[in-house]
Amino acid sequence: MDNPSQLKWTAEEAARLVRESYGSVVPQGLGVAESLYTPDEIAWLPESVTAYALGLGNPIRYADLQPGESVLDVGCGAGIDTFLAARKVAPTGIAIGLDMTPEMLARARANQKILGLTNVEFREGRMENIPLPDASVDVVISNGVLNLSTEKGQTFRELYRVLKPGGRLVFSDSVVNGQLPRAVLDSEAAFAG
Amino acid sequence: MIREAKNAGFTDAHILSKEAVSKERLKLYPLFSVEFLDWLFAQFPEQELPVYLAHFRFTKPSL
Repeated sequence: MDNPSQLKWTAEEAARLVRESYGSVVPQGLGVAESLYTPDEIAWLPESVTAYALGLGNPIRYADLQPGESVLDVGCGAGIDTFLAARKVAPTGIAIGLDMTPEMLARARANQKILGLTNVEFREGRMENIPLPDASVDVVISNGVLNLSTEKGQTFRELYRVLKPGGRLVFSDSVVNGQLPRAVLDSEAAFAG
Repeated sequence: MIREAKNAGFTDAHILSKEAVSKERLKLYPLFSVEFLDWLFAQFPEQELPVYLAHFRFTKPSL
């Protein structure tokens, strides 16, 4: 939702709603991953990664990541985009996944062990208060996450803060064309999904 | 989205892709039940969501 003033939840309530929704999600196959990524892109990833693909797009495809770059993946979930980024920036670059949902972070860290990637780290935190220093990453990516913030102004200030000068933000998200009915704005499933 | 990004200082805004959202696409997501999707699309004329999925790119100015 692009206009937080229309939503009935406070920032904390919205965050709790998102955390509960994504923390308890049960995968239903690989349909999302197969709709967003090519076989070549994801063939090397285990199902414990691809089954938890819940993004809306493929920001890696547009991010033009280069070896040696540092990348922050905001709302990384179980890590699919973080791992794809890590592969692109290897061997000297680093991919950092950020998520506020403990269950997803646990999956991401377990997936990292399965993959044996050393240029990846995962941090717990909110996009409104990113646990990184100023000007510390070359690229920020996000996949269907930024709209889950009810404080987008604060979120974008944080994204701007952690990027190095000349850095880029590349993300996918949903955009509303016009107004949504009140019933949809008040729907927890519509907001968190 | 673009407004908040520009207010934060980002420049060089680009919309890299844009596509409509279909019910068939949303059915892939475990966060949505079929019943919810039926209800959601019924809220709109001709059962088309006024929502599209897009990729964006913004740049932080160099020093």
